[in-house]
Amino acid sequence: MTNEELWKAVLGEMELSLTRANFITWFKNTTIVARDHSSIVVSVPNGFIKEWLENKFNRKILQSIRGLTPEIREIKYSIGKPRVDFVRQDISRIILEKELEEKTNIVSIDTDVDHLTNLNKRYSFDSFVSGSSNEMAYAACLSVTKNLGKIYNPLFIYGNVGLGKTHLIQAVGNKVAENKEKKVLYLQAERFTAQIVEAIMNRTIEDLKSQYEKVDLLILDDVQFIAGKVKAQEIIFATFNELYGRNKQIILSSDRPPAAIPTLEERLRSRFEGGMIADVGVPELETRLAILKQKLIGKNVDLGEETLSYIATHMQKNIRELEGALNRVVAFTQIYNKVPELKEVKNILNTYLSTPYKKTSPQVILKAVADFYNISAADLIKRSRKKEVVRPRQVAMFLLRDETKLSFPEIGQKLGGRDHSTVIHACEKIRNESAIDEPLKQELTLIKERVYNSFDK
Amino acid sequence: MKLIVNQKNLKRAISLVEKVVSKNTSLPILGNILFKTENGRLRLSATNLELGINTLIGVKIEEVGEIAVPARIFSDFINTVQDEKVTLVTKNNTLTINAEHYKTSILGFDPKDFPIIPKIKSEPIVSIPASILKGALVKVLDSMAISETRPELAGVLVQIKDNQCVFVSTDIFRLSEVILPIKASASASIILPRNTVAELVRMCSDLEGDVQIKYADNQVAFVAEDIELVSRVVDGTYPPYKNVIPEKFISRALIKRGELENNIRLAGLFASSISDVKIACSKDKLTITARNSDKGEIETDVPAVLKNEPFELSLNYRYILDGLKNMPGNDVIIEFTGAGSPLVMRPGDDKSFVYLIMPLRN
Repeated sequence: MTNEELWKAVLGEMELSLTRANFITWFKNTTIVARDHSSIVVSVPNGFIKEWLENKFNRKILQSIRGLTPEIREIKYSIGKPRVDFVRQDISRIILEKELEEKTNIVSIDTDVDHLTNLNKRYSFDSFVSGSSNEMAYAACLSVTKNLGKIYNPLFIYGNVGLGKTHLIQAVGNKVAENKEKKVLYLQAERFTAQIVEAIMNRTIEDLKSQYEKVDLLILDDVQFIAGKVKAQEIIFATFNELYGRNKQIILSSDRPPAAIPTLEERLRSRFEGGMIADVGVPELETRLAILKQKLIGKNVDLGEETLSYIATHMQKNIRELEGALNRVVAFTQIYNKVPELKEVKNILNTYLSTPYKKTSPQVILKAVADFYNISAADLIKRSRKKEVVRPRQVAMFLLRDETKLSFPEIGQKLGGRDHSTVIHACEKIRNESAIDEPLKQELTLIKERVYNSFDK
Repeated sequence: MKLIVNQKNLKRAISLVEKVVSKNTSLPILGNILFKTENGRLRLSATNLELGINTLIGVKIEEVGEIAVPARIFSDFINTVQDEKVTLVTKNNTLTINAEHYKTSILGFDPKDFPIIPKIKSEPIVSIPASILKGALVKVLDSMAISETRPELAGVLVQIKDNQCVFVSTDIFRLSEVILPIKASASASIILPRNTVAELVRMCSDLEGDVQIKYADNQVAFVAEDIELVSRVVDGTYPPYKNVIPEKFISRALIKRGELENNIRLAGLFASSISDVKIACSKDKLTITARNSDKGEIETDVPAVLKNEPFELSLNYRYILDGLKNMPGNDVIIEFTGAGSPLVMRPGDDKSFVYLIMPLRN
């Protein structure tokens, strides 16, 4: 019988003889940490619990232990940290905590983030790995640092999440800020809008504007978030013109090209497109491998070529995930104090790789559509051909086809025994319209979100 | 148990221990105070399993014994009683209190269920006069973090070295450090939880003489004559706070503390929702301005003696007041260490206390 099993058995017995509150108070986070032929050591979280178990429950505990393993004659109690095997089961939690710590450190005083420029010193060109997917953006950024405000102004970088946009543009900021005379300001678009809201409240909007206009290099990250925010766009427009007119550099980043940002004012869009646009793509295998090696520098761990290439092959879409996977493996080596074999690496990364497959059921879609358009699910199935029911019905057909891959006749069946040609017509109609009709497209996205969210509940 | 006790002494002892009792309703025994006769005296104990207090008072014992009594009812009762002498008698977990004009019975609990407050057997590390310990703790009390998201910050770091004892607290927006010169027999670094610090301050304000600190196995004890406080310590490492305290300054100003405090309080009336006031120091005065779009604005000056360049920055006025409140002496020194770096405040004639405030970004 292992220590763990033994202690579980004891806990089971104690739980029966105590009230719930008592049991939780005295036995939470206790465990057997050591055992020899005649005695065991139980670790407890603090002195109060130690005293209590020693003085009150010792006989009972000993009794139930001896019922299972008669050779034990004595129990000792020690105040200890959370047990080791608890840590083992939860590597992911440690990593999470580490990341959390890093995140909270950003706001704390002991941090890498410069308070005046908002730049994080960790991001530099030296630690950026360039490959064919981001060559152009990299080169553009480098040349911007050399000819500030002269050649590529504004510089617009776009690409999916976790591919290094922020790293690149912050690296430019850090490089430029090395020259103490240049004023650099890095702002996240969300923060930017928050500042504007606050300035409007305090009626200091002019101060804010003049503050932005003093800089030599303005970096706006995740600019797609200003979509639809009229006042923010107005201020960006004014700031942009002012800076651009004085040949000051502007760098913008977004998760999509300017043309694809919805509800961005035309005059801003054309200005964003006026300079240089470069995209950051998904890195290919060699680049990913190089990134892993770069991240390992300073970690003082050697994982072996095989492990690295396994990680690089399996984490394809996102550098942040790639780093997360690497951290997980590194944490393993630190906790167990050994380099994991390939088999163990596979095990560690299992949860990352196999996100459970969730099947969309027709019922969920029908419910989401009905809820969204505020009609009852029965209306969708009825024979009614009122306009307010017909359109949702067509949307439902389209989504059923798109998300569940049911056949056309099956979809017709689900929606009150309609003919398969009706379904084909509906699907085509919605597909064509969604390509040109922006509101419809957003409606579809919103409904899909509802469908996916319903899984989480 | 049967004993006679002076009402004033009992009241005082109860007020010392009653704040510790837990409001945890799932374990009602924690809401009790344990009365127990011990070596000719009466011991009162209370605990919430994080923190425990024992105190001893002199009584006339006629029969030894023990009982656990709900703290709330007992304390409310004893605070209202006027008689000088009170007789406590227990029978079957009921406490009967007989004074000249009252006969009361309070339903108690079985003392066997009351948690045992651990004893720390190791030798004391250091011994500090209670008034000095209290003075140091009060100075760092305000800047402890309130949220428990980083438990190590929701407390006070006590660093004991061979010739000094350092008290530090920070909530990442401000930081206080107090250094006491003392003689210690060993070194230790302990993070005291928030609650413990507050209780310790209460305990020390009621004491004369020295408080000994003992530490072993994640538990710390503060022992004085007739009273003892035992607490868990926060598990974790304190951030390297020394890096945050700037070694050099750009400008320094000397100001009368009372005037500054008054003017900051005045300006605070007009601070916006983030409590910001702007202070600008020129050659011979410090100008404090605040503006609130709903209330109005203010500008006020305090005479100051400036060394080096003029400076200006925005700060949370509450933090400034918290710092000034604890400054001893009539003068206060403020040091500007650069835009985006903390503002340093020190008493005019005392090196042992430093208070830092992070400026607000505008």
